[in-house]
Amino acid sequence: MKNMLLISLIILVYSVSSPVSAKLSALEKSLILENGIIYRPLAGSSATAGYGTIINPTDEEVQIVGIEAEGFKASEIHTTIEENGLMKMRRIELIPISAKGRFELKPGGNHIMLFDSLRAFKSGDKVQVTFKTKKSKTALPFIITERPTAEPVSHSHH
Amino acid sequence: MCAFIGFVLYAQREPPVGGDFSLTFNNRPWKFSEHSKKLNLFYTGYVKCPDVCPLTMSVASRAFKQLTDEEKSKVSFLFLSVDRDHDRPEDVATYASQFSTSFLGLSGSRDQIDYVSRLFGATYIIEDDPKSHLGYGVSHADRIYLLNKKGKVLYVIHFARDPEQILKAIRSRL
Repeated sequence: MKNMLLISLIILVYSVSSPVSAKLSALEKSLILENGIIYRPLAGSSATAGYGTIINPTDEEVQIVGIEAEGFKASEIHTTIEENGLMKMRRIELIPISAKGRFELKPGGNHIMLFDSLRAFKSGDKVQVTFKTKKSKTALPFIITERPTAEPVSHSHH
Repeated sequence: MCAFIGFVLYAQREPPVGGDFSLTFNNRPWKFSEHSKKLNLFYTGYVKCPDVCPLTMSVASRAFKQLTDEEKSKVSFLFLSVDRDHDRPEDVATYASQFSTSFLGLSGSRDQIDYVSRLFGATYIIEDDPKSHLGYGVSHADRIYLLNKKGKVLYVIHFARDPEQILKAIRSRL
């Protein structure tokens, strides 16, 4: 919870640009992350999830087409839906965020799914997650956080 | 293409009756009636589930943490992984124990898992998902079944998101 308060508003740290995206306005390459957390991977599971709010502060729509998270073998944006009494996860391959709009990542709904951690994580570690649009990439820092009631064990890395 | 479908039709049935069942815990045979307590909470999912399973189990864990020691001695929480092809039994046991040391992570053969799914109407579907790095997806019920000592279903909590709801359900049946 302390971490949640500390990261109540985390602003874009850096932006990686291609020659093409260099022609874009600075604002178009910017995204803002609020309350970005990734739950520390639990022992026994190779997958975990991240949550927060992605804000598009620009005057134009942004379309996220993929993500990359350092420290994990693969990462994707998923959504959880309830269908005929079953909870299902579906990958989202394109996320439009309208001008000045927000995209919520929250438990039981949209989330970033992270597979196969490449190193051990502890609470408070930062994980840079790069959000890719068709024109640019923006890295946003998520904070590793314990699940609300998870009891830490000594062998969290696989 | 569907890799496996587990008892979709049972989703349409009336509330399940339940009963005794056999699974495995940490690769060892485990029978409900030999370990059951006065009240037993039963949940199905899979350990690579990043969202719903840990969410529900965290909520249940928060409820358990509010129980007195005497109450805890009368209640168990059982998590069954329906994904026997990818979740190793020892990983299932370890995974569940991190939410509470009293939580048991159970596995089983496909026949055992399907028997239990049928017993409680705990539907699941495992299907290929070529769009995801995982390569497959597991759709499953998000229900906590409250069972008596004989495994009979007393109550079902759907989409448990409030620890107080679980706590109230437990205490009213102890």
